[in-house]
Amino acid sequence: MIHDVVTMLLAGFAWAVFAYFIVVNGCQTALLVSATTAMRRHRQRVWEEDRVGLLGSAVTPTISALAPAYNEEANVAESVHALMMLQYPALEVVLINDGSRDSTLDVLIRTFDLYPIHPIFRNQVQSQPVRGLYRSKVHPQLLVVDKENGGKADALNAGLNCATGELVCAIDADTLIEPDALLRIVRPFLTDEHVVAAGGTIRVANGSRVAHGRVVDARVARGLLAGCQTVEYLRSFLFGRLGWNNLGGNLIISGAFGLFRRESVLEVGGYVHDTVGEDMELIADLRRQGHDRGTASRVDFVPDPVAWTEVPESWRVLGRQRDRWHRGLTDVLRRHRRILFNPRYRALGLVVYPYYVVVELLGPVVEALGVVAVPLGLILGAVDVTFGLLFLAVAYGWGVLLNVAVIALEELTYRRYKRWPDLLLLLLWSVVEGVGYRQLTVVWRLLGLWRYARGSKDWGVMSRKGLGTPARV
Amino acid sequence: MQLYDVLAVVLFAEAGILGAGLSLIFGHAVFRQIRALRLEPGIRTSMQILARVLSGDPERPALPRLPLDKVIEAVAEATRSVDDAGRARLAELPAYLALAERSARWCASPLWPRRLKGVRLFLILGAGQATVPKLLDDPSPEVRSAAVAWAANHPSPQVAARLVRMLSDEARGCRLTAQGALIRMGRHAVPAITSHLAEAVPASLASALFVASRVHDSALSGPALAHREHNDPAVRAAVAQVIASVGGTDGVEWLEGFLADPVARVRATATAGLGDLGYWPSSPLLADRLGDPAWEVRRAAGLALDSLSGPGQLYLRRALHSTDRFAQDMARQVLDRATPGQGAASLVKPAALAAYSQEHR
Repeated sequence: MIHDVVTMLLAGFAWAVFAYFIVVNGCQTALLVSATTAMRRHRQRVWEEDRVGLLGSAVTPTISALAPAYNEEANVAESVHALMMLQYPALEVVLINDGSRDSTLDVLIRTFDLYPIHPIFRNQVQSQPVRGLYRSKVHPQLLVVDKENGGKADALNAGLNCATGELVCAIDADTLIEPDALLRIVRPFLTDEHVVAAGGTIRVANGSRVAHGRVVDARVARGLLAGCQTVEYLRSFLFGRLGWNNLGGNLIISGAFGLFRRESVLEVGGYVHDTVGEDMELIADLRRQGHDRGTASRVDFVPDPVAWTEVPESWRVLGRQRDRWHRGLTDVLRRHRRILFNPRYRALGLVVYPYYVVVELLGPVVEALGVVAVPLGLILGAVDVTFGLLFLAVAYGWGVLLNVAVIALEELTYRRYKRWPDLLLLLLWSVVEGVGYRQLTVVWRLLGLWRYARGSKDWGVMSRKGLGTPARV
Repeated sequence: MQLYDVLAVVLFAEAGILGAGLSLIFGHAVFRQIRALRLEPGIRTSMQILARVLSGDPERPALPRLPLDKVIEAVAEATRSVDDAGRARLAELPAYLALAERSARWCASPLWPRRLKGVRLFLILGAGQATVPKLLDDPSPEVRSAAVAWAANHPSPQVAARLVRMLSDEARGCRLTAQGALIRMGRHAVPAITSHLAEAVPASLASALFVASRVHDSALSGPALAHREHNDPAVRAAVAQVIASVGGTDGVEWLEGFLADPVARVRATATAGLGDLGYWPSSPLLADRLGDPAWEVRRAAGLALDSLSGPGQLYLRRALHSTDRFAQDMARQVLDRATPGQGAASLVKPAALAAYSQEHR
């Protein structure tokens, strides 16, 4: 009797997993189709566009690049040099020294000939006290904010208070931004007054040759972990984010490289301190409050502005990162739960938010249960062996197919990896990624859920190898 | 059909699509590589011919046969930083003429991406006087915006008048490009802006005044002043901006008048304008603004006084003993620096602060 009930439950669950698989892959295929049309339209729009003309334009909005730094004495000068080499006519670089205990500020004062300026700014969003403001004599567009330590979100808030740009660009200290990325990412703000945020593509820099703060030769990472992440990032940005442009807008802009309308960010109170998903929280806030006020707040993804980042190459560090990302996602979705299936929020409430809950948040739970239940069902005879194997093959094949589709999109459009070995390696990682790596991310995400339930809000230590040679002006 | 069969069919379909995808990727990579190798000598020769023509060679040889995208790339590269004389020499090349014809055909296409390509190609070629102005009224905002970018390099009274009308275009991209193009046209745009200010189209008055403030032409101060009592504070602030951009004794008087405006934005713009003009006799009035109820006005007053050097500094120091806590506080913030006299405004005018003052004028 018990055996029959268990068998029936397992069979039912196997069918539920099967249905879930169809829904998830259906959504992802829809995203891929949407991304392909969005890419085509985008490339038509930017064909031979005169971006250089923007450099001489008197009406381009001013951008303040916000770069928080904590104990970065070794790299801060090169990071600032690289930021100041970005092509944009009205760029202010705001470096926020977040109470560093090393000589970050001294290095900046020495390297850029800083002098103290009027500490006049309006405290519009909450942050730890600002100790002083400095301007560079050699690069007047550089502003250094020296403040008490308060974490990344707090530093960004201090930067928001002191920045003077109409738009602010949040940049991670370890991100390498391509010289024309700002000229490209600003496009949605020039064409649509409802755009409050825009994100660009993040690519994996591991394995590439980096010189003077720039990726000068893009290569596909040789290591398994970095290689799998290369494919994962391509999939996530080239069709994950781009596809949402047509299907209700994005809910995530990478914290490593995103452009925001400063006034809108100040209106929603800036970055939230008590979450590890502060970048997603900001986007969710911007979109929700936009709807609440009755003004559409668009969040666009632009595929061609590129920032390169170094991804973790150690299992432990990667695990911590994915754990933190999932805790952030869970926290943001919980905070904004009233959006779910709320017709007032239109596509955000009826399409985007449910997708994030069903696919992104609950995905690891269903996958983990499937991993347990399907073999159990096979053992107990509740699931047919041929069916189980066929299903696994179809599921794996679908994953590879999506990866290959993204690589085809990359090959037909931007083609950053120009060598044959890189193309072959990319295809290899797209095949390998579904065996082991993806399952591990499920474990880390589950761990994130567990730790979130236990109230953990720590970031964990993120060690990196470092990229390339120092930047020079 | 049983579920097994469905799964098996899906699996076969996946395998087929995968094969097609891989063929596409490899095929495309091979095609690109072969094409690059095959076209490389032709591209090199084309670049050499274009360089020779640009340097004044009287010969006008035909370019080697190349696919259209490569010809466009070569010509775009050659015209990137070329003057009118160089462009005229290039225009004698048969390939250049063929591209111009192609652009004209694209501009007449019913598909907007084609028309957009047509305008962008004309922009590269520096031609299209007979075709592109008509596209300033194109239904597609992308095409209109590209036509405006073209118009910035081809100023004429008719084009300027159309651009001024475009300041109230429904598409933000067109409005911004029109502003940029008019500013770039400079004095060529003055008559059109003047007549637009006289018409006082409500939707674009503030934008027209913003453009006027960037053109820096004294002929615009009169038409701008006609709107000094406009109901919209954005318009009044823009008028103050125009006056500050032109200067003059009368201008100072008008700006001083704006210091009493009920809206903070207008007062802040006028205050910053007086600072930019460096008119030190206004120091007492600016010092009064240190106690303004609005933060942005107090800030603008502090920075303006700081930029007036001696007299401004004197008033700032006096404000340190003021009974008004706001004035005292702002003066302290402006003077509170490690090296007195090295104010942001007096030594180096930081780009961001300049941008801020422009934005809030």
